Amino acid sequence: MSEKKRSISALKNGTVIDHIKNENTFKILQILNLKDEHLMIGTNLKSKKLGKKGIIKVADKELSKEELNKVSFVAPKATIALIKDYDVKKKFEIDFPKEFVGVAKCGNYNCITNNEPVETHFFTLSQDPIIVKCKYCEKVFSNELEII
Amino acid sequence: MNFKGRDVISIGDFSKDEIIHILKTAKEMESNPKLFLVGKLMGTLFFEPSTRTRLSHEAAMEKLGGAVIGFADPAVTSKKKGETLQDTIKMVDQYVDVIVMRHNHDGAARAAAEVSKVPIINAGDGANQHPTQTLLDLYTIQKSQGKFDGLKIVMIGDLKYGRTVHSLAVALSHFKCEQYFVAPKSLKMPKYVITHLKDKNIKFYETEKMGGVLSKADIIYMTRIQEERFPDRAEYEKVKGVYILSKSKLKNVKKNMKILHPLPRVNEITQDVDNTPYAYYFEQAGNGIPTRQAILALILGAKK
Repeated sequence: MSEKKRSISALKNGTVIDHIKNENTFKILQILNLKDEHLMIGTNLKSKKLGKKGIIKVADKELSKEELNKVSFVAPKATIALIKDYDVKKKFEIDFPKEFVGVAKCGNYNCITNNEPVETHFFTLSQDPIIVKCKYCEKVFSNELEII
Repeated sequence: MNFKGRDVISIGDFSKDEIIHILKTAKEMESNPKLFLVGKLMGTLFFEPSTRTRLSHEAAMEKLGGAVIGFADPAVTSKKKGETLQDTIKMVDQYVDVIVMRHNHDGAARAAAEVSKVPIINAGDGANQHPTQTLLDLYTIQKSQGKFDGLKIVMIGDLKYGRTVHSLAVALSHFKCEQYFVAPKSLKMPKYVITHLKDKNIKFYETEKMGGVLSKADIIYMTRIQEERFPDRAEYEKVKGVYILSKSKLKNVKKNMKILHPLPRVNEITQDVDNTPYAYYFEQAGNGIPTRQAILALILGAKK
């Protein structure tokens, strides 16, 4: 194991979310509602891709597709590693979805999704920077949207 | 081209060929109206008040032999009891063959269409879309000028908040028109429209001054500047009299130039313009009938 990887304790079982934009590291905790899980968090780590990055290790948890969608909205360049018995079983870059359903609140207060029980739905117009368009009110937003 | 069962939610849902087909059908409706829709029932759900849009949809349906039920005041409906929009739609679609809906929330028409068994015609969803207005505007331009390509279309007034001018600019980008946008700095055409026009290589010009462009215009599309749109009252005072079209300003315009306005107007076109050959806004409102007849006949499968 390299010196770099040892900067945060190794995980026996669980998920590593790596290459998070540094300033969004704690946002990930919030959107995944990680309150009781055993967590290891690193921030201000050097990264060739991002300059500074964050990393989160979550013990005994695998992320659902819905949770990955939420992560991709905040950290589109993140990589995910599934760990079993200290070994990386699977490693992949998050696939940025073409559509986000039920992930974020529409930023238009007059949108039907903010006024009636209609699930939010956004189409991805651009991944970097993130630009999405509401399926209903047709307004266009960057990733300042509030995650549900 | 088969429109049967199709919703009419946003002008962006229609291709150039589809728009041309709707306009061609509207022309047929105007020259040779028949009772295409006998036995069909249209529901008008107007959660927000409207005069022209509701009356012209109802007139269009009845002139084609169809019938109409509905409401124009949500206070008398179960919305007041807390019924959701989608529940209202799932009930009404059991009764009617097509629903025309105006709603105060942006995106309401798309949400309605998702649960409706019958086609939904969006008659305005908040500040978002009003596609039948855009289609009747296009029909009016084509009818008065005989073409789109090569025309110079001048849009004047509140170009920031006016949904009709956004949709019209986008729809006209299917054709080779030149577009002129005349507005005060704070009410300029939104960036997304400008970006769309650039992407499609459409020639357009933005200016704050009305004088220089009137003589170039084939179509002048006026909109109203509303005081409440200005964050600063002093700014409103500066521009309120500037974007008013009066007879005296029309001395050097093209002979066949026509003035359009989505109505209602307040004072942005003075009454002395009404009797000039350029005034075309009431005819434009009248064109709502054949345009909406065409839409109804197409989506109900009575025309192909």
